[in-house]
Parts: sequence; C-alpha cells; structure tokens
Amino acid sequence: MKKYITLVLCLSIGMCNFSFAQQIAGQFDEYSKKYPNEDVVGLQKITEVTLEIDDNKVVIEKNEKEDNYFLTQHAGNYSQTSLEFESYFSEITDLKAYTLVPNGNRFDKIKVKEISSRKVLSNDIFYDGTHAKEFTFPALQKGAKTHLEYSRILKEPRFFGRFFFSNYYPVEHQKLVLQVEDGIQIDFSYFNCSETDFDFKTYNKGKNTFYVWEKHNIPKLYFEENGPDFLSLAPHIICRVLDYKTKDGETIDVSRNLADLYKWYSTHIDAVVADSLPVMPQVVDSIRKYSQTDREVVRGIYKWVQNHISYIAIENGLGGFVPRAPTLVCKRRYGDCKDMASLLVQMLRQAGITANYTFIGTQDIPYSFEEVPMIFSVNHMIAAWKENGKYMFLDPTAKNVPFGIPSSFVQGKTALIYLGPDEFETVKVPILPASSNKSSTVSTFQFENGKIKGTLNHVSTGYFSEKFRGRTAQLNEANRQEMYEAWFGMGNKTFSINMESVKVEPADVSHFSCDFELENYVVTNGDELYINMILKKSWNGSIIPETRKQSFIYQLYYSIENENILQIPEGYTLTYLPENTELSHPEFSFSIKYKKLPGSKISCTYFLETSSLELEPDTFDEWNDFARKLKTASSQSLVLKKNKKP
Amino acid sequence: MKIFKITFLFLIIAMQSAVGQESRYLVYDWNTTPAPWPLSKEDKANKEVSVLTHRIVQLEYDANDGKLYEYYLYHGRTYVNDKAGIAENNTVYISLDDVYEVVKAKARVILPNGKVIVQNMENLKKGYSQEMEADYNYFAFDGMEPGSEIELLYVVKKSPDLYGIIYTIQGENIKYNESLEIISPANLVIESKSYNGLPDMVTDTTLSPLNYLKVSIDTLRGMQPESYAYLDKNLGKIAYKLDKNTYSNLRNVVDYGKIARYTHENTYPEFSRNDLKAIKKIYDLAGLDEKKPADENIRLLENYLKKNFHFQKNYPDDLSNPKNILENKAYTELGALRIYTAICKNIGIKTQLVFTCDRTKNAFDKNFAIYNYLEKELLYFPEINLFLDPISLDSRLGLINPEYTHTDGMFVSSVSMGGFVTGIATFENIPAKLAKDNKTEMDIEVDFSTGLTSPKVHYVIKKYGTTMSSAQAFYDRISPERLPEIKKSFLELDDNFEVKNILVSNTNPEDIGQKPIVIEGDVTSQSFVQLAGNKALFRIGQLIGPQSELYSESKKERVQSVENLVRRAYDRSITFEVPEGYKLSNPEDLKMEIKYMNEEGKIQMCFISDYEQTGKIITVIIDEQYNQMELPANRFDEFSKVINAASDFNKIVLIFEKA
Repeated sequence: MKKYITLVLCLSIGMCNFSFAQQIAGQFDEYSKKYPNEDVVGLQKITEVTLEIDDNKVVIEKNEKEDNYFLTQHAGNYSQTSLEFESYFSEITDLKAYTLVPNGNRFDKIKVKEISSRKVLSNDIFYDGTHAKEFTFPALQKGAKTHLEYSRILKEPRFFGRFFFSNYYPVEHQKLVLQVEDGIQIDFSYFNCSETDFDFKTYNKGKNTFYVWEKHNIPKLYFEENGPDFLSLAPHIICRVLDYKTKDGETIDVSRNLADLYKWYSTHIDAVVADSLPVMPQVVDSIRKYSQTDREVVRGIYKWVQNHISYIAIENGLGGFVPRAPTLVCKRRYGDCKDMASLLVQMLRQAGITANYTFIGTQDIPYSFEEVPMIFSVNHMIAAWKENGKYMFLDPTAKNVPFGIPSSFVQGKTALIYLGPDEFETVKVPILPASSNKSSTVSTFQFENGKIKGTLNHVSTGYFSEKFRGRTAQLNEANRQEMYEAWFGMGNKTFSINMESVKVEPADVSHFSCDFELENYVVTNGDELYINMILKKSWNGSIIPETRKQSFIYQLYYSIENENILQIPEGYTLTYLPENTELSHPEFSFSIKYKKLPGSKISCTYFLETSSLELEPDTFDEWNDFARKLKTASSQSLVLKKNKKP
Repeated sequence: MKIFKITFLFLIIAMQSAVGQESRYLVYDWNTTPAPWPLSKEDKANKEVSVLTHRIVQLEYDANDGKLYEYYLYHGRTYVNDKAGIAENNTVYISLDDVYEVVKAKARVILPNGKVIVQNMENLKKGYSQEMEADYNYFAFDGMEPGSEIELLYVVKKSPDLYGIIYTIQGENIKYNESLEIISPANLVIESKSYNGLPDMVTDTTLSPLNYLKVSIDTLRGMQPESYAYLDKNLGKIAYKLDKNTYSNLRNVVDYGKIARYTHENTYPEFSRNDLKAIKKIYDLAGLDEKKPADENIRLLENYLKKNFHFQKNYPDDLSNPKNILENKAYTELGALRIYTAICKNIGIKTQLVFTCDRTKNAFDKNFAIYNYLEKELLYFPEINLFLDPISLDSRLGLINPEYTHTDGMFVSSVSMGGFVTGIATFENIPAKLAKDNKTEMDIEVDFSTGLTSPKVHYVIKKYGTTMSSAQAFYDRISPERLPEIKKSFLELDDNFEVKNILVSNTNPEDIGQKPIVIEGDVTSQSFVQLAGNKALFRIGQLIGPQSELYSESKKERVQSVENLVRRAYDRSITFEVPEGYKLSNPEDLKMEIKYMNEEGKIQMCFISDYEQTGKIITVIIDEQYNQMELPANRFDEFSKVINAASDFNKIVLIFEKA
C-alpha cells in the first residue's frame, strides 16, 4: 500500500511539474505577446502604509513589495538597483530582494547577497543628504522575475505622502493601502486621475481606518518631445496629514492649509531675520551713494549678487529649508537659492529697502498652494520687492536675467511672500508679455558681384537678452566668430561676419551689430534675379504630427521681428513682389509685409509672436494651418529683371 | 582590456626604500606667497586659463607591508576671468578610485589684489558617483571672484597602475606650465612615450639611485575641435608603463608577446565537464550544424547569443565560465570570447583573437605595448576573412563598429610548439569597409500632377552598412508611439516636408550587414515650389535633405588632418516630368562636378551631378563618394569642396517658365 501511495505521489508531482513548466512557458509567451516592446513588466506593486501616534508624534512606515517580470535579454540592464533616501528625514530597513530564474519546470530563487548603503552624488545638487541602498539582482535574464520588499520610515509627517500609479514600464496590478490610527486626520487629492479610476474602498477596523486603492493594467508613462513632464502626466494621489491628537488630547496641526505650511517655513526665516549681521557695508554704501532712486539701489544690489555669488545647490537635511547666514554666503561667494535670496534681502535692508523672502514652485511643479499646501509645491526661493504697489520678483540664481523681470521658470506661478512670523501674502508672478521678450534684427543689404553684402543690427530684450548674455559669456577667442555666425547667420551657411565691424553689448537690453556677406543665395536665371527676402527663418514652424496626444510646452511668450532691406542693384527693375500675408490667432500670429522704400529699396518685415505657455491638443489643427501658411509665405521670392539696354 | 589582468606578484617583495631621501610628493609644495600670474590681454579674454599643472607620480615600496604603492600629486592653478569661469571652476572633485588614502589636500583662492583665501579642507565631502562608479572627495571654493585664481594641491596614495597610463596634457585652450614627473624605486624602470608633438620625458639623475623622469612645457597651445578629425586622438599626450624590474631581471614587463600568450591561455583553457556541457547546450540552442558553411554557423551563433544573452560588466559571479554563462544568460568579454572560440573549435572554424582600441580616442601603437591599446576585443576568422565583435549589439559578423577599423590591432593566433598550443602576436590592419559597403541609394520621383505647388514626392531609400546598423539593432525596442517620428527621421529631410506614408523594412538585428534598411514613403511640402509671376521656382535641391557643410571651417587654418569615420557613397536619382505648359529654363544648373583622383586614376572623393532629358522627363543623377579614410591637413580645402558641393546642390532652384 505504501508503495502505491509513493507512486501516485510521484506521478502527480510529475504531472504537476509538467503542467507547471508549460505554465512558465505559457505565462512568458502571454506577456511577450501583450507587451511586445517591453523589456520589463510589473506584475504587482503593493504599498502598505501605517500612520500611528507614538510618543506624541506621527510615525509613518511604508512597506513596499514589488514583483517584476523580464521579457528580453536586456534584463541584465536592470540588475543594478538603487533605492535612494534622504537620510535626515527617512531610512530604509528590512530590505529583501531575490531573483526567480526559470529552470525548466520551476523557478530557482537566488537571493541578493550584498547590499551597500552609501552617500551618493546628485547630478543637480552639489551637496545633499541623499543616500542609496544599492544591490544587484543575480542572474537576471529573459524570463526571470524579481522580488523586492523594504520598509521606509518617514520621520517628518509634513513630507507625507505622494503615491504614483504609473511607471516607466507597464504594471499589471498595483495596490495602495493606508492604515490610519484614529486621532490622525488625513485628506487626499487626485492628480492626472480621479477616484473612479480605482477600485477604492475604505473601512474601519479596530482603532484604525483603512483606505485602499487598487488598479489593474496600468500602461507605462509615455513622454512626447516638448510635452508635459512626469508630474503633469503620471496619475498620482497626494495624501496629507491635516492634524493629529496627542495622548493628552492636544491637537497638533500639520498640513491643513497654506497657513500651516507657511508657519513651518517661516520659522526657518524668522531665525535668519533675527540674527542677520551687516554684510558688504562698503558695497551697499557705494551703491546707495551713486543711486538716485530706490529702483537704482535695488538694481545695483541685485546685479552685485547676480555677479558675485555663484549658485551651488546644497540641500542637506534641514539645510534644505533654512537659509544660511548672509555673512557666510558672502564670505563663501556661493550659495543655493535661499542663501542668495537671503543675502539679497539682507543687503537691501542695509540700504534701507524692504524686500521679502519669497517661496515658490517652478513651472515644472503642477500644483497650486490651494490644492497642495505642502512642501511638494515649493522648490525655490527668490526675493520680492514692492515698487509702486506692485511686486517685482528678483531671482539672483538666474545669472543673466535682466533686472525687473522674474526668472523665466517661475512665470505664471504663485509666490508665497514672507511678511513676518505670522503674516504672508500670495501673489501671482506675471508672465512676461511677448512684446517684452523680443528679438529684433534689421538688416540692410545689397547684391553685388554675386554676393549679398550688408549690415545687421540686432536688439534683444527679456529672456532673449538673458540667453544672449549667457552665451556670450561662454565665448573664447577661438570660437567667437563661428558662434556669432551660428547665432546671427542668415540665408545659408556661407554667411560670414567681418569681425572688425562687430559691436557687442550684452546688457539688460542687448545689442549686436556687424557687417556680413552671403554667397550662393540669390538665384540667377538669364537676366532675372530671384531673392527670398526672409533671410532668416527664425522659426521654421514645425507641423505637429497627427499622432501627437500631449500638449506642447512653450514655457514663455515671445516675439521675433526681422526687417530686411534690399537695395535694388543698379540696372534692375522689380518685376514681382510676393503678397503680404498675415495670420492672427489668440495664441500665435505672424505677418510678412513687403514695402517699397524711397531710393530703390525694398523692405520685408517678418513678425512672429506666440502668447501661450502650453499649446493644447485642441489647437493643433489651427497651429498646423498657421505653420503651413508661414512656411509657404516665407518661401516666396521677389523677382528683379535687368533693364533692356536702350 | 580589464579581462586579462595579470598580477605582478614579483612586485611584492619587501625592499629597502631609497635611503635618506624624502619623497618628491612630500618635498614638492606650492609657493607660500603666491602672486597673481601675469597674463596677457588675449588670455584674459577667455573665461578661464590654466596657468599651472604639475603632476608627480611616485612609486614607493611601503616599509611596513613591503607592497608597492603609487603616490599621485596633482597641483593645478587656474585663472578665472568672469562669472562663467567661476561657475565652471567653483567645485572640485577628487577621484578616490583605487585610492587608499588622501595624503594631503589643500586649496586656496588668490584674489586679483593678491589677497589669499586659504580653504578649510574640513569642508571636504565624500560621495559615490553612480555615473563614474567611484567615490569622490569634493568641495566648493570659498570666496572666488572674477579675476581670481584657484589653486589646488593634493596627494593620494593608490594602487599603482603599471600596465599603461595615458595623460592627455594638451587641451582645447592654451595652457601654461605643464609638467610631469615620474619617480620609481631603483629596481623599477619606467618607460614613457610622448605623442602628438609633446617633448619626450628625460632622465634626471638628481634623485639617484631612484629612477626619475620628467618633462615640462612652458606654453602649450590649445587645439580646437575640428570637423572630420578626432580631437581626443590628436591632443598631445604622454604614456608610461613599467618596463623592467632589475632585481628579478624581468624585462619588457608589458609586452605584446606575453599578453598574447596569457590571453590565449585564458581564452582557450581546458574546460571542465560541466563547462563542456554548457558549451554543447549553447551550440544546440543556437541551431548550429556542422554541415552548414562557416559563416552561416557563426551568424547563427552570434544572433542567438546577442538575442538571448546579456553582456554584464560588473557582476558578483564569474561570468567567464561557460556553466555560469548559461545559467545567468550573461557573459563578460572573456566569457563571450570563450563561448565563440570553443564552439568554433568544435566545428572546425579557425579563430584569432584581435585586440585594438577606439581609433577616435587613441592611435594603436604596436611599438609601445600598453593595455590602453588593447581595450577592445574582437574575433577574426581567417578562412572567411571576417571580423566579429562579440559584445556590441549593433554589429554583426563582417560589420564591426567603424572606430575599431582602419587601425592596427594585435592578432593572436594559435601555434603548436612542442606538443602544446600557445598564442603568438602579429600586428595587422583591421580594414575599413569600402564605400560601396556603406552606400545610400536614393530614388526620388516628383509628381506634379497633383498640383504645381503641391507635388507628391516618392522616396525609395536603401541604406547599406554601418549608417543604420544601430537602427536595425534597436528597432524592435522603439515604442509604437515614437515610431512615426523615428521613421520620418530616417528620410533626413528638413521641416518643410510632411510625410504622408512611410514603410521601413529590413529592421531586424539579423539584417545588420546583410540587408540594407529600406525606407519607402511619400512626402509633400507647401514651400518647395513657388509661383513668381509667370514662373515657378522648384527648389529641387531640398529633396536631398540638409547636407553637412564646412564653409566656416574652410575659412580657418586647418590644424588636424582629415579623418573619416567610414568610407561612404551616395547614389541619388531624382526624376520628374516638366509640368504641362512649362519649360525648364535652367537645367544646366544641375551640372556640378568636384572630383579628386589618386595616382592610379581612381576616385578619392567626388560630388558629381548631371541630368538626362527624355522628352519632358528629366532624370538627375548624383554620385557622391568618399573613398579616402584620411587626408593631410593641407588637403582639407579639397575635402571641404566636396562636402560643400553637396550642400550647394541643396540650394539649387530650377525655374519653370510658361512655354
């Protein structure tokens, strides 16, 4: 009898194995078919978070479990894994990871052997508290699966919590569970998704409330060129702790509203304001002395900080929120945004001018303070100065931005202005109108001996000027001519500048002028000359493909005006002049206008303007119509004909 | 060539260090009272100028553990003119790769008024760079102002690298006071070689009995990047290595012949039974068959391995052994070589190992053996005269990446000597492919029947060889959303053209070097035909897409010789029928000919365009070829004429006149 049982067992195990092997192969085929272009697919991702009150503090622990499936030989590219954490505010514990390697009818489990933990360098930030747990998944290959789990302890409830339901690869199943102890009030909001996108449920159990979100078949994030970035695309949920009750029954406010956020930020400022010592008294005094108005003083001190303090990002622990003492920043001659803002505010104060610390989120942060009154909404500090009842926003980290205009990346964002320990103001940073962010060039030229010879005068304002100054600063003797020719080149690449004639003046409004020559541009045919008067097609009007789904990000309003004036060669008569064309849309417009000027001259003015930070997909058709018209109009030539000899 | 690291055990011999002499890296110091460096007005127009770089490499035996260490001293001083210069020099990173200890590190800022700000080195931070895979010490200079100088001096103790180091001394901008010293114990003789016009290092006896080599250059002019030249390769540099250990009477420590023997031994070992089983398994999985021709078998193997196995550089397990390779589906370079050679041996295909370096970075030097020149491993099959790159995914048998061609390499072949087999080194050229192997064929038909100003243009483009091999390698990884954009980019047209439909074929990795990628599609444009009165301007040149041009560079004096990445050719034809009611008034403008021949009367490079007319049908034929891999700098002018000719064709406008 015993024998028989063993035999049966063997058989059934054998069959089991056989069908399991088929299962392994079948599952692999199924996923390869479902995701033909993917190296990896997420099988499941489960995040369980507990929020508890301990020792009158909120303790947050997050447990992550992640299983991935690798579908191609490129699997090996994913074997090095790095989990980053900011050591001051969080830590990672209980890390377990292994690979499941297919082996015929089974998966072999191979554990990760070594996990290193170290301080890692960041690309953008010179010094911060980022540490990483790093390890290698062993034997990661086509058909293998990985499992990863770990806990993350969050020491500061203000930094809680953002949960993304999206990734750079597709995920089959994702689940988020929040377990919140009674006495902790939370709220949550949805971004790029809504509650109906999830299987959502909430229930009470014991002294906890549970919130559960689940989602299946989550496609991978797809980015289009010049399109919205991760935060604007990825579906995510932001949960915030509003307040909590301590054992003694006291209610502690955390992130209820903007006032709470402000209170937390302002305590860091209060300390700096309280013990600021005078800095650079000679500089401040001399600027004050040579300035007639407050505006000139502000300009002088702003320029000094722009020119003398270099931007180096330092975000270590609370150092990421507390500005360093202005005296230290000045001694070092470098600092991060808040250090530079703080130094500027302090120097202005010494000059008798009140400027204010200003918290702000740059354009890549898609939240408003009302939606998200949390640190997720702030990543930058500037200074604000009120002139005739209107704020001017000063960003010393933008080294070349002209005085009086905000740095381009905060345009249209809401500024949170520090007025005192309990007092603040929110003000929208204006968007620089296209007319103030302008590139204008006037070129006057003639055609002689097969060449175009002329003079160009260029003026740029706003961010055009900022860019020009930044680029000019990078030049050296060896590349100067080449770069000028690349920036100001017209017609074709034979464009050549006479360096002796160059005048450059990088300033708030920048100027550039030079003499130039251009070959192989005018088309000659018998006794006729064909000249396209749009020598510089500043922008070539890209057609947005029909397949595009996401909006097109511009980030700024701008205008370009190029006037080209041709001296008609002696002995020639104008026989054909292209028509004037214009097209105007609330967000973009252009015009091309021809004019005969006295003294046998013809002028052609090309004007282009866009007043949109982001082109929405429903305007793509109008945009394409605009781009096609612009292309057609700017490819027209005038015709000159040689006069017949009498 | 990290795969064949040899431990020079003989070095670990406790030895008396030279008596009574203090080490150079300890004696050397910066000027205690530095004055601002005098610079000319021209120098000050640059955002920064390197005014001093002093390097000392001192090899020393440690009295305690008897091991050899390298002490590396770096002393640099840089003038910064403006805020752009400050921004680039404000932070300093010291690599701790292979470093045991930072012996000293100090830094200061010298202000324009002569005031000195000594930096507090307690601010030195440490972090790991995931990009560079190394730890760094780093800090930011306090108190920098426009017009100041920064000065940095540090010494690190590290494991010595004696198999070859190359210091690139020259830069893009002028540098002053560049110097290098190499000091080694009496028994260890260092050999150095200078490249690209730098002076040789000379022997100095003042530290006798230590060996002491030094060189210093007061003014080193900069070399700017130029098109069709590889700056990294052409910059002045100095290489050195250990040559002799006189105590153990060992000569030619780094020697190609020795390396050939080691690598041969490593690549063709006696495999264990398990390893042999793994090799057989791979043979079966790849579908090889002894009856098939050699090249077919090699292709099957290569396609199988590159599709299913992964090249892994850093890995805890030994991925050079066949059993582990099969289990992990991953290999190192050595592992890959072993699999290929073992399987080839089984089916009677002869293999040679080939080692070379990226010729765009360094010129292979067969007369100065260092590992830097052997960084890339290839396989050569003498019977079919083809090369294979076991690692690179965008190359296949017969078509290896061009930076490893048109260069010499060390070929290791097996020879039998008294019953045992070993490897011997020979030096041969790895030839670049011919222009016809990297050809682009482009057939363009313009159809004006859809409207004179809105013609339909049909393209059939075939691109052979290297140009599209990475597209073929990774085409299946492109996401469907991105695909239309990528396909459009294959046409290489400017923004004025809109693509109507496009078909791309031969896009499999197996097609690399076997079949050309074929792009077929229709485009339209609103702007390339214009009506002007009773004429129509047909911008025919735009149909070949924007071309590279060298107008601005041909105005400057050429410094480097011309070097092409590949030989290549373009055969283009454009066909159209002159629209009804019009005649073509300037067909002669289509005729262009720039051509240079070699002494044998063969074309070195050319751009020739001509047309034929049959009734109203015009066919334009363009023949563009670059057959010469290199040209001396004084022929740059000729080269740029050919390049510019293509760009000039791009500007041709035909004129249709009402008949």
